Amino acid sequence: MKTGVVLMLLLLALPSVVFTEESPVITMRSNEQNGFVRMVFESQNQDVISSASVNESYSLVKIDFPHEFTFKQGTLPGSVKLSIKENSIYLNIATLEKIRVTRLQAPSRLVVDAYITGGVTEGENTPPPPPVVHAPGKPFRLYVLMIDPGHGGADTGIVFEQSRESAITLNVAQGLAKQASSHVKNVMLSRKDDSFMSIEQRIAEIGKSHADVLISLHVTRSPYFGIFKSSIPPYATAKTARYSTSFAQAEFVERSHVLAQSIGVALHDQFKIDARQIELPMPLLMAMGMPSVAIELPAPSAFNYTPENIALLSEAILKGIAEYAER
Amino acid sequence: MRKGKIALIILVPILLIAGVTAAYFFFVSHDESDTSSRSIIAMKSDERIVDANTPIKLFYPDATELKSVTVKVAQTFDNVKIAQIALSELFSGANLPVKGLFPADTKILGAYYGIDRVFYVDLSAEFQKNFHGSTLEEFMLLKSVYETIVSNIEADDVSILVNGAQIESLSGHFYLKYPLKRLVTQEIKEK
Repeated sequence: MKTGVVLMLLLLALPSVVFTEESPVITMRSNEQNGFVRMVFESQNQDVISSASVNESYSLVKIDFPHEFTFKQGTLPGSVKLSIKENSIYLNIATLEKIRVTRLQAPSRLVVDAYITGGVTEGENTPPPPPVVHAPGKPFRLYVLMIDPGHGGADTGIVFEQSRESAITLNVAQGLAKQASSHVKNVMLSRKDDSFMSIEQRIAEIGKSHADVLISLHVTRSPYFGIFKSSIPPYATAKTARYSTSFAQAEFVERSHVLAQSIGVALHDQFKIDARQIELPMPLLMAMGMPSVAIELPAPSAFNYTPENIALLSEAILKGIAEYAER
Repeated sequence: MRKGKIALIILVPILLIAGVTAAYFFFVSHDESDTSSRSIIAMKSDERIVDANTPIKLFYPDATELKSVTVKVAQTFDNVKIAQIALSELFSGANLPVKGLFPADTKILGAYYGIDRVFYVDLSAEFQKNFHGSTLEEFMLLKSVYETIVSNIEADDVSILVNGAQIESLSGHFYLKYPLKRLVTQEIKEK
């Protein structure tokens, strides 16, 4: 009788032992600088980070993770009080103004930048640049690139003497895609022929791609390269940025700036032509939930768009993205 | 008795004439200088009304900045008219130091205030058809239209229609389907 009971208990306990998964480990690091606190949550389990949601209410920041987790906490700044309840981490941050959330990969990290009053805040003349997270990112060979040839169809863009902007951007995009296909995991084009796409269609198409990087191509009348990156408009607070798809870029602004800088340097090195970096509120860039830049190529009067030059151009852009991936 | 009547008939008209003459010299002739000065004042005042000009500011793009010129136009107190005149001046480029900044042949089809104090400007199709600019040129064009309107009349925001309808974008870089303020009041930062 006793043996039977023991066997029954063992049989009942066995599945729970077999099917119990080890809970993922989340490690937290943080540092406080003048005006903001950076908290980095890192896990080997990518799902835990990508599915985590961050909500902010007054001085409280709540991070909900999809599973239970084991938490390893580093030193915490005095202005932050941390508590854990079930699958959530609660951060009580004194004099919190707004937060910015960034997700990074390889290893998966959730970066929460909390801007607090009393220090130097954004918009002032001498803000300390927020430290770029210099951890190895996703390897370039695993990247999914989205290339967006500007204009198309009835929207020709600038009409030059012998060509038009929509044709040049498509040519360069196809050359870039061809060259990139042997370096990265996947390359996509937002348009493959001379067809019209509205801004909203582009946003919807590119948004579905879950690409790692967006390169939008345009042509300018000037003899220089222009690299446009988005900024967070002053009216887009952390809350509006989170709830409006129009500001999906808010989380990626810093990475987009790094991308713009890397491509700008690569283009300048290749062609010895100035690459001006300009922050403009382009709706396409602002709505992208991925690091995104728009490259304006020089006018055909200053740059000969031969197949050889397009290949060199593609090479430089790819070099820029590869360098960005390592930063 | 009869003589007395005749004397009265002669005397009364004479007295009347004398009185009228005296009154004429006293009132009219005496005020002649005043009358002439008054008419001069009136004339000057008329001239002032006729010559009265309203200064309006036109903002035009210069690389990543806006520059302005002031031109004088016939005085009017109608805000809608002022905005229309300002835009006509801007698009014609006649008083701007640089020509060809704005889409050629653009006509102003109408302008009105919305109930939300947004000022709507209806432009002809040439505004879109004849614009083939770069990203920055499109941004600066919209910014100059906005600034030209809000610096001359009171408006909370400005919205541009083309041929009476909202269009998504002027040239594929920026939205035109929303009022301009949020877009064009953002700072351009260049490295």
